[in-house]
Amino acid sequence: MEAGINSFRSDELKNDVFQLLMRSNFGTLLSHHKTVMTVFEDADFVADLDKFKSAAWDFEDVEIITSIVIFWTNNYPEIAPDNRKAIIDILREKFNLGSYDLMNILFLHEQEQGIEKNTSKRSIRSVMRPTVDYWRQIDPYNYLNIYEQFKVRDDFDEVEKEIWDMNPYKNSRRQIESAWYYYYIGRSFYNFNQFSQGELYVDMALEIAKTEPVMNNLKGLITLRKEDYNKAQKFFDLASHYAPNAAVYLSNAGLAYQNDKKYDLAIDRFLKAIEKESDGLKKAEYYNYAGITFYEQAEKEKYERAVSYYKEAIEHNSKVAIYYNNLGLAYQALEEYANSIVEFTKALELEDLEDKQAEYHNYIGVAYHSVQKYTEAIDAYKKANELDPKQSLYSRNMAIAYNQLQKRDLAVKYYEKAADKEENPVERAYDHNAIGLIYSDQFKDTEALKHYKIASELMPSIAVFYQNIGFSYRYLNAYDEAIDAYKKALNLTKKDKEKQAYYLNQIGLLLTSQNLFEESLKYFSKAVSKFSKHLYHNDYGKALLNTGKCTEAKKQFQKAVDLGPEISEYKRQLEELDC
Amino acid sequence: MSFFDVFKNNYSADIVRGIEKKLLKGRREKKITGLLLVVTLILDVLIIAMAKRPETLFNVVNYLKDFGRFVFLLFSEGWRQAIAKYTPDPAALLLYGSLLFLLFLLYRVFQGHLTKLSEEPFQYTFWIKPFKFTKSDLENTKTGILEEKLESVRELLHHDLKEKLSERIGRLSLLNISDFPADVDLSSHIQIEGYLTLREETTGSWVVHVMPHLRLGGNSEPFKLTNPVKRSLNIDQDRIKPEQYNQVVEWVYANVASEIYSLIKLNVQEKIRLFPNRFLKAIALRNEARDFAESNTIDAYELSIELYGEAKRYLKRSLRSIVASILNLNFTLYKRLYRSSLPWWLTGTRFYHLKAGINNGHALCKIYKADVSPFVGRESDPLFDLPEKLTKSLNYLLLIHNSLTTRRYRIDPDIFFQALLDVYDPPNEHKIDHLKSSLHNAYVNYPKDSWLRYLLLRPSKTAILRHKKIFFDSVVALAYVYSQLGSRYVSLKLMDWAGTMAPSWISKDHVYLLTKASLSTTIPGKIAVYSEALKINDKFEISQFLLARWRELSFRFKNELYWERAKGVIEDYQNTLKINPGNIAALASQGYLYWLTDKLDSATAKFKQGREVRTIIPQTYISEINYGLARIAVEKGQFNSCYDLFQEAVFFQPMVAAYANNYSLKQGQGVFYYDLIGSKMLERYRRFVDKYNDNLEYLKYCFRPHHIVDLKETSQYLYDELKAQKYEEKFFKVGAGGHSLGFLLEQKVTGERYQYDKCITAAIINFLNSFYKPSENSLESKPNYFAIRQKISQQVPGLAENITINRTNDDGEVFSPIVLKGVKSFVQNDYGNAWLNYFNRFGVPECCDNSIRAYQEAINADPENKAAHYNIAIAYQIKEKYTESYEHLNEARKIDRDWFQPVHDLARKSRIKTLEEEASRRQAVRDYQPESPDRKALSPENYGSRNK
Repeated sequence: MEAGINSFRSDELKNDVFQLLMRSNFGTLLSHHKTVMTVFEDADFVADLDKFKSAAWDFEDVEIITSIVIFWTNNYPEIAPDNRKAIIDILREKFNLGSYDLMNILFLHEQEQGIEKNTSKRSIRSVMRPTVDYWRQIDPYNYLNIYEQFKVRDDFDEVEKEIWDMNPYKNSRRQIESAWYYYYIGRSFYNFNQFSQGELYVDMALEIAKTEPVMNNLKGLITLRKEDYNKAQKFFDLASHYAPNAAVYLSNAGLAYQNDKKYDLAIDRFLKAIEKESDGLKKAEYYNYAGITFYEQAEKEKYERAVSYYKEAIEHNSKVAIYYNNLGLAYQALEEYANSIVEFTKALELEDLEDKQAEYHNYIGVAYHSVQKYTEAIDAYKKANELDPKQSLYSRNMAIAYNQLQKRDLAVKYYEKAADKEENPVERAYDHNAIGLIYSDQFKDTEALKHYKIASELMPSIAVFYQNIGFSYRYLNAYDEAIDAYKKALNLTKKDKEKQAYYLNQIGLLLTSQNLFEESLKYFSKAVSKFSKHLYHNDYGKALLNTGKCTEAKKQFQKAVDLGPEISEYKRQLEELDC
Repeated sequence: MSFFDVFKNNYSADIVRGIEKKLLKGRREKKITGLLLVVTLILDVLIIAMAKRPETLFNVVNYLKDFGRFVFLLFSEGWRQAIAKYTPDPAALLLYGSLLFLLFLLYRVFQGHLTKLSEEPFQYTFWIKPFKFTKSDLENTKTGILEEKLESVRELLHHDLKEKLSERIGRLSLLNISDFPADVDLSSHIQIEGYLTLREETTGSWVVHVMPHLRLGGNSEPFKLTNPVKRSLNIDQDRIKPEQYNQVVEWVYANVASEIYSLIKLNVQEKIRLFPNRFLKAIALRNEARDFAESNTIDAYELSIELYGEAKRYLKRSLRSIVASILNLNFTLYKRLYRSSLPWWLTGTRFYHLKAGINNGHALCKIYKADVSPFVGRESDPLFDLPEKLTKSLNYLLLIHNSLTTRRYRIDPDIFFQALLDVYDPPNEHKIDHLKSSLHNAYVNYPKDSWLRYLLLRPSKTAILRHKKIFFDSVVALAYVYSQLGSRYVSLKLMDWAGTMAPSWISKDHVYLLTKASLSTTIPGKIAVYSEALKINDKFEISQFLLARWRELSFRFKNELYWERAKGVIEDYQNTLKINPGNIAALASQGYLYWLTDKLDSATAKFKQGREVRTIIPQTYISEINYGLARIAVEKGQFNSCYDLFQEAVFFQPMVAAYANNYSLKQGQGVFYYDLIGSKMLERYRRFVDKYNDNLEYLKYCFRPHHIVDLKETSQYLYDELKAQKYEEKFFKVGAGGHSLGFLLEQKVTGERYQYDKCITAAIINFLNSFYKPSENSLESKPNYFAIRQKISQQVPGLAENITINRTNDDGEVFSPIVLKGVKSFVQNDYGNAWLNYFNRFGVPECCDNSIRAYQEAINADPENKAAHYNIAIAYQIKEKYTESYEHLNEARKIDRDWFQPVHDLARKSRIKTLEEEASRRQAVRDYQPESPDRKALSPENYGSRNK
């Protein structure tokens, strides 16, 4: 086969390399396509093709090569993309400069790469544009060109203006053809995420053909995307009313209800869809949706139902990783970790995408984590991290697991990594806070303080960080700073009395350690009034005693004993009092 | 024969062109004599001047030696030393310098003279002798009468042919050689003779048979036969219609002309050899080729392409190409040179202008050939090599442009082609604006030149004009090539540039208008521009045909399927046929238009005319014609011929029966039956299917005279029944044309007149069948009659058993099940095509369902119908039912392994992943599935737990 490539000739091209693809029957095509495709990986392939003079080519040769390139793009975009692009360029430059097919492939290629504002994409558009304009103007009725028009324009307002100018039904009476014309415009807008404009055209279509289920469905989809769930429900239900045997509309209605958190109605629609659907793959999808709806309700009973629906989905289509993933999550929610690990492993086997795989590894890690198998959990997290190194979650999970294993240094290291990767400031602040906590555990208060401060700078509205700052300062004997920190925390937690009581109590304690008993009394009394807890009563009592208010102190000790009868110390204190 | 003989000795040419030619020749001779006189004068003066020092004249060897030493010193010791040692002798310098100059001048004049000679096309003379009439030996009175009628044809034919030949082939002039003595050189004379006869074909029809033959040269040369022309005649008609006669003339002309071309071609090549050098040969060949191409026939284009090729070969090996290659060498360094003021235009202009001219002509001929070939049902060549060649010659022209114009208006070839061809990185707007303004100012405003260039051989205005012409032609030719290759983007740009370069030319340039028409985006725009182009060249078949084609599409687009509207379009096609009677596509279009407007007989006539083309030019594809005839055959109930025609059409060109949205627009050929289909056309197809069903129905229940076993008994039954049902008024009233059914029955029943048996039988059968004849009476509207017929057919012996399928028509044709199924398959496939194309225009999903239903019926009727398999596959693809689509595409490919279209579609449309998925489905999808919302956004992967 390679010899055929090296001595590239038009006839040999037909007879040798492309024999399998072009001339063989369909079964051979299916079984041999990979072999055929490997031919294109040859580095000299393009050079050979380029050498071949254009005069010797026939219309048919160009057609064959174009077909092959399209086949290649559609099925094996990952095989030698550079070669493919080179061939497209050769074909375009030498043989069919205006070939719409080839330009379209290039266009899709750029779109796949996500190069939205790339100059080359704009140029490709400008090459495609005259052709599309031509088609459109020669036959303005033709609906096929509407979508093409969207492809070659940047500005949607411009497109809309053009479409309206060219609308052949502008002055004609209402007819079913015009309804479909408007429907296709609406659908194109929908495909390009222009929902308001899309809705306008769908409304026009529905005005003429009210009972057309497809149009009602599109209207539903648009309103669903606009998060107007009530409307979406209405239109999907209408669609399934007009086409009672179509499961898709029912399932869409289910999704609309699900988004609106009307779970019972959603499940009703999904079950009906399952009943109506004859296609196994679709059925699996609807089972999955039903499962998700149960899962979302977050009750144990519902989790069990979710598990059973996911299992049904898998039974109908065992090749979708997401179903296993969902099942695994449901098992996790039920705390059946062993089962969840099994499901995630299955999902892993099916999934090709690396970041998805990473996610599944993470879930496995979480499951091990939950049953306190930290070493296994760490292994899983590590794999996840290798596959998707940009994700902070995996590092963080790893840090947590190391912390559990008392490997503090490693825990700190991974928290730091997580903080580096993380873009969300809240998460980052919490990462630093966690590092601070680890240091505090090891009595490294200076280091701890540093991280708490970073956390509080990142998220100044979270009280916990100030509380930790206060805590560290106390151990560093910087009482004033500690009091300041607690006061800040106090300001941030105006609604949470329990917390406030804690902070007030801490301030009181800090003041007593500076022997400022009179001052501290104010805080202790406030703490007790905010939230009654034996500890606070006890501290208040002690402070009162220090200022010589024995009777009042006795009352507080009594309260402490009442609230915490199991603590013998309070009783002893009360007994020792002699006033 | 010597070189000058070609022009000089052409006795007849002198007669035709008269004094003008002689004058021209005289002027040229005078020029040369004058020049020689000046040269001798100068030489005389020089010799007198040298006479004092005659040694200067004879010391050539010493001078050369001195010069050699001078050069040596120049390089070894510098110019000061060299001049000091060898001071050149001014007298000798003057002498030899002027001698060289004179030689150069002589060469130029001689060359110019030869070039002028080479630019004239070779002249030929011709004469047509009256055609001989060979009478058939059959003793047949009818043929005798007809032969008399043909006598007038014979007398007129050679006159009309003369007129056409001298009108359409410019280089031919009339010369009756019988007026000349035998020893006159007749090497450039064409003598045409021929026979005319009446023949009976094996099928029993009569044809006029014209057999022209011709020779080039004197009496000793052999004659060559052309393709004979056959035209069928209706033996009973009074006279030969003028239309038929015109067709015969056209055909004879076409055949004679193509034979003349092939003879001239050989002769031209012989004469070309007489030119002294290759450059001149190339010029002569180019002119010959250009002249051939002007005849606008496919044969002429083929010859022209061949001659252009030969011209190119000569040019490549000519001496001038070496001189011109100075420019070629510099071409690699052009980036610096395109800024320099050096007169590069002196070195290669002629060569590259000729080269560009040849390339343009060649490209245009190839395109014209490709355009014309589908009209006449032949294969065409690919055009992929054209852009490359044209761009190359355009590159040189740009270089010459840069040396011709002032510095300000120079064009960077890089930017020129980058703007055209680089999709990824086009130059910015400013650069393109500069390019356009350069073109405009250099050729429209003719800017003032710099003083430096006055010194450095500034080109004359004529030189710039000459360059403008060829440059403009090249740009327009390239634009045309790209427009034909479907790259509107590049083509539009080139047209824009051509427009800025010569705004006053564009409305007069034929190629420009053709390109403009093909680029025009609206149907009225196209029609307007093609009409404009026809004003310039009204014998140009391509514009004439395309004008008609677009008028037809406009007619379809407006959805007005009335005869009054169709008439005009048919007339347009008729204009095309006047230019080329063998234009299959025009005939097919006319036939189709007649069919659309329900004029079946006219349609048949047109299609049959198309079929006759094949008898004259055997290599013609006529699938479209056969397909059109098959449709008519169905409507007329001639299922056997329909089956044969359909099979023949699909065997050669399966695409004729395939769904074809935009296919014809894309390829410039093939079917166009369903393009721009509207509701009215769809209605026509519905009628077509109805007619077919009627015909089928008619076959099923039709009674024939032999089914009546006992006439008397049958008459009795019918008579009683009609009486009983009280139909006296209708059936017993005597009509103007003869006796009523009731009357006849009465006669039979009462037994008064027995000689009317045949008549009575016919009346009864007519009555019984009347309910089932299409478009006469439908069963639904006459339930009572139906009841009568039912009763009678059950009661009367002999009728009852014939109530089931009969399978013969009125003409007694018997239809086998295969034929019936094949015809059904054809009809349903055609109907499906109409629906699918309608869907492709308007997007109403039911239409697609309808098409699938029709295709499925077609396949059920005839599983071997490859076109139906292909079409249903396309419809399934639209429905996103890939598995079914693949199965059918594969089926189509299995039936016809040489049909490439399904294979392409297989490769293009296969998505292996989808397919595997589809294969794993337990049950196939059966309903139309609208898209569901994005699955990803709603899957629980987004709800994954975040553990801390």
